[in-house]
Amino acid sequence: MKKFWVLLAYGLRDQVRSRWVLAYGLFYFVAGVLLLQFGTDYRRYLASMANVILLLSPAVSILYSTVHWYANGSFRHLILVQPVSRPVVFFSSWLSILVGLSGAFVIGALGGPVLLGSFDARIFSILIAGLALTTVFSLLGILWAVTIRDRMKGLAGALGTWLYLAILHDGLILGILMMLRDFPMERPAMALLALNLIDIARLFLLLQFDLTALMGYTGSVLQRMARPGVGAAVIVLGSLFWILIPAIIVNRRFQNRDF
Amino acid sequence: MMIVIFLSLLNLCEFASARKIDVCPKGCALQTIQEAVRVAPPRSQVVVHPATYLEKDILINKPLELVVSSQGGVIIDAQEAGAHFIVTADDVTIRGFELRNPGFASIKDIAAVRVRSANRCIFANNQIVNSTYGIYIEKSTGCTILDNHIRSNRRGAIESGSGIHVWQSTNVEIVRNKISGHRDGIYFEFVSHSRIVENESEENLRYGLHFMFSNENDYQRNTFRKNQSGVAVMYSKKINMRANRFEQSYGPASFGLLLKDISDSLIVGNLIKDNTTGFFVEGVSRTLISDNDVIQNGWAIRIVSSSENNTFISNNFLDSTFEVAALAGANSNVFSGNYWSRYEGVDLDRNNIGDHAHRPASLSGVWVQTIDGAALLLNSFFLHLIDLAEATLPSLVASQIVDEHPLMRMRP
Amino acid sequence: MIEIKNVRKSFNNRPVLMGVDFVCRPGVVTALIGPNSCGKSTLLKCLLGLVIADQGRLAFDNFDISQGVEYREKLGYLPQIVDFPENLTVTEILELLESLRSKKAIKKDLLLGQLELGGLLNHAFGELSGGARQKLGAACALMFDPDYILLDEPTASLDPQTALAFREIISGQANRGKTVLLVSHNLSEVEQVAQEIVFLLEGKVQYFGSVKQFMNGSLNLESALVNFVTKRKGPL
Repeated sequence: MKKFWVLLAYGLRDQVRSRWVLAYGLFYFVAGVLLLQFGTDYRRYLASMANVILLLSPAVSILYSTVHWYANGSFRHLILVQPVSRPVVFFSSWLSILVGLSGAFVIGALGGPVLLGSFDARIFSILIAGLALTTVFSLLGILWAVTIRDRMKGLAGALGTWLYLAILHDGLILGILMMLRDFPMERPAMALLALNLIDIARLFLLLQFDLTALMGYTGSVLQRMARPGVGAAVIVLGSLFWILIPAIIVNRRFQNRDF
Repeated sequence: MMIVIFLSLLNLCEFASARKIDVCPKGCALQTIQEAVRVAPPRSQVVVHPATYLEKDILINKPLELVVSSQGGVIIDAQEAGAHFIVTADDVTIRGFELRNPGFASIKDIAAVRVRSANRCIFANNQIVNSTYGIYIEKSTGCTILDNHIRSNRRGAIESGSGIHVWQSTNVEIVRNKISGHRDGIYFEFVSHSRIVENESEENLRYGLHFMFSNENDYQRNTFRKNQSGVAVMYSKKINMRANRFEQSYGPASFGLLLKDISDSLIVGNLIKDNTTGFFVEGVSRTLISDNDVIQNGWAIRIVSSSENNTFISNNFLDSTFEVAALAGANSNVFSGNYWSRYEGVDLDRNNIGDHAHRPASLSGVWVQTIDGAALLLNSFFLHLIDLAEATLPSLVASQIVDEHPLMRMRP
Repeated sequence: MIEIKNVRKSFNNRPVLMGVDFVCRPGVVTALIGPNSCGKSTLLKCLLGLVIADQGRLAFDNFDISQGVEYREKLGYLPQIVDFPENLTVTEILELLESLRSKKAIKKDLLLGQLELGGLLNHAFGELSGGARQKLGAACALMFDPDYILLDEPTASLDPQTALAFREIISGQANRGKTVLLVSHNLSEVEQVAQEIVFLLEGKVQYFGSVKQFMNGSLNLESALVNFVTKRKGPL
């Protein structure tokens, strides 16, 4: 266990000094400041920030973790040659990426509101959603890097995964709903959406900020999610599922892989 | 001349002394209101002193003024067995009572105050608690309902009635009442030339205010909040709607303002905020909708069937998820000079009018409206992309709704 | 002693190692040679635990590597290309490796002096030249004074002078009784430092024995290898 913390600490030291991680945090900071300065009200700031995070944090997390995993391949080999077990290497590497990205995200996203003195507890919903997405998508990125040896193919896989989950999944659902428009489809639609953490996070944020009075148009399923605590529970459970399954798969692959 | 003055003075004296009748449980000649009303001569005043009176079905069949000796302490509890007052004569005034637990029966329409064919009645400063129907007026002219507080906690639209129910009447004035928890806050059927002003109608199970077959009415400066729908105007003409607030009507079939088969009306200067749908427009014609602030609604406007010759002008449409959803085919409605917060055009000649037209009806808005479950995709990138595609290629837009002169800045 | 017995490995049903046997003795530099894709690096990775052999025994002084990672405490490895996170400094890298082992890096200071790395301690790894990186790799491999030293083309990317210094270090380690396994393409280097060679071809050991015997009067190792292959009349 000591070795785990050692590796995590050094991995983090590397992350903290990474230009990309820094740029990522800075982006959220600048976006926050601009939205607060030039936006008209806090509600719009939250809505815009939610949109940015839903789009960006999965994309950056999955691509950065894939690229980083490939780029650090030979170093990881060197570590694997040390008296350290593979699960320790895997979890410490993942967590250093995760903590690096999450730290940049949290500090960047909180920086603007704190600096401008317009901090509001509602921003924690954004943080929860962003952290859940970062956790899951960093893991999915590593899943690709561990599975595919060719880094271009792996990167393409990661990009494809993001593209599917961020856009195509919803398009597909809409297509299904259109085809079956004569049937009551809200529950099946909700079930399909629950397969995608971006959708869970999106609905969670919609409900948290009451971004739209339109939510009244949707039926009981979502209304239930709107109750205090339920939305947060759903997103935490959803991400736990999305963390546990890929983590088990990646760890097993990493355990039995030839480098 | 002298004789005339003398006679009128005499008249006044008589009014002040002999025509005032006190009611109290102990120490008065009359212990019940029922008794007092029965013995009181026409045009006299019945003064009720503070106490709780367990009475019901008090019939007032002569001109009479019922007042309380001090505001707040006079309670009549009908114990859910009947109405409090049944008014069948002209010129009846009832002022300052607290009326508890009128009966309820869906067929008999029992109300706290029941008025039949009685003109010029006045109900003021009363509180009605736990009512099915609060005040029920039929076939009467010139009644005034002022500063009453009518609340019900009955749940379920079937056993619940209207706070103020008016049927086949004219020249009714409904002013500064607070109504909550009924099926409809205020209900008009076959009512005309009436005014509804500065009322607050909240948390009613159906509509805050409901017009059926009622022409030439006017409602102004009212607040409708958290009703299933704010106001429903149906099968009516010449309704003047000004400076009202329609707020927080949430739900699949909830609207700030529901318009169905109406014409020749004015909707001016209202605030419509935080509703699932702001305006629901069905079969509306020759109506002017101007200078309204339509803010943060799911749909600002939904138009579902042929509505013609309406003019939407100089309104502010702010922060709607969807601005207009129109299922209508041919469209002869005019949208012009409105401010749309979703408009992204520029104004190079700086005349405060955008250089190109705004198309407020989006494809995704129609989908969400017509496809079950599609609302769950709200704010997804896929729908954003569809919107983007629409904005780039206007030919994709099915709807013909266009504001040729969108404002660049909000109308103040 | 490193023991390799009947080791087999296939990738996607393509056999790479087909029963490899040999031993590396302490005090001796054993060179593993053979053409590209003969299985050299796969074998090396098997010893390091990077590749998991399908079959056979890989043991360090009777400790079978399938039993755990403890044998790596006594293992030093210098890869062909040394790579560390760009943003960590030389000091941090050394500290990191130290904290992953229970042994002290008793040779650290000596090696840093010998390899002239003293002035680079506060530089980030990304700022180092190729030669400096390789030297750092050597320091990392040797600073724990390991009993087994595995070297993968250690001088391939070095200038002649540094390469010479590296060879001296390698020989010195063997003279001190360490078990050294050297993978190299550079036959003259092998001739200089190795006492025993393993000639691996098509996944099998074609020759395992002393360098002297293998050369058998040939001018150099290269011509001996050509003779060996011609005699074997097999395809090369």
